[in-house]
Amino acid sequence: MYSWLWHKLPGGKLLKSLQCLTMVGLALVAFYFWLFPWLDAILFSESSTKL
Amino acid sequence: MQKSTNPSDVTELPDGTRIIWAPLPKKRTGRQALLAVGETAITLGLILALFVGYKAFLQDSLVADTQNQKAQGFGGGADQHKLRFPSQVHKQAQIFGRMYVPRFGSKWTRLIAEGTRWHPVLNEIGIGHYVGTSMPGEVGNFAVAAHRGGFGGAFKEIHRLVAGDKVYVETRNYWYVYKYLQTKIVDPTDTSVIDRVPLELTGSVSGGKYMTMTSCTPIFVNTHRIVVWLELDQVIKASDGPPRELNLGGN
Repeated sequence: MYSWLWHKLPGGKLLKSLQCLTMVGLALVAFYFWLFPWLDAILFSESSTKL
Repeated sequence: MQKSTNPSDVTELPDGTRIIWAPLPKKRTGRQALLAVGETAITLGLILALFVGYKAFLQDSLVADTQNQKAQGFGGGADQHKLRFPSQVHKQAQIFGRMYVPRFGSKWTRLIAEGTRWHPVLNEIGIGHYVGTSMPGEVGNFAVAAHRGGFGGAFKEIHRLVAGDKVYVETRNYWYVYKYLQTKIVDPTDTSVIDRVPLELTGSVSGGKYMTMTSCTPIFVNTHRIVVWLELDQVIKASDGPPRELNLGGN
């Protein structure tokens, strides 16, 4: 999967690395604003007994 | 010895040159699928690890700061009217007090609201008052709950309370100073700890003015409840200013 993605990316090693870092950064932002709050709501739903 | 060649794998060019095509390597789809599954599992594991880190450290710390700042800024100056009289509290999330626990830190403070629902009381405000239990300063048991870990973990340090520690509860008209009595770990089903006279509290008597702080334990495991009992030690009029030992410099 990662190997396939690496080969699909255009440019040399440096450009590929920069693109990978950008994707990781965007993923982290998406996790922080969307995925984690969503997981929070699912895994830690309302309960007055579990404190 | 030469290998026998399949005629279909041989191309003969006009100049007589023979091209013998080597068979293409077989696609190892099984191995590729396994690799994809493995990489997906590692990716999900990393995301989960990030979420745990976010939950345990980043979010906890951010929410704790927010709750602390909200508590420090609430009810001061023009906003004084926002702190309800305990006798006028009838609905969930109505804020009627503010707690100070020097053992938790000199800057630590949290608002106290009615009810123990996660949202919006424990998750956003910080400390929730068990509905139906006594109000601060009253005869009986003023029982409160807060998160131990996650959502600011207001009572994260509850296990550090020891004899000699005091907990200060500020309301609209009075400051109530409670002194530490006892800590106990109980099952989640043991609701008698917030009874008007908690029988598990050594030396508890009818007519006593107690306070019970409850939270989950062990931290992030939450299989049991940690209970701290305190007893009313002093009542100070709000007009006399905050207790000097808090070093708040007046409100």
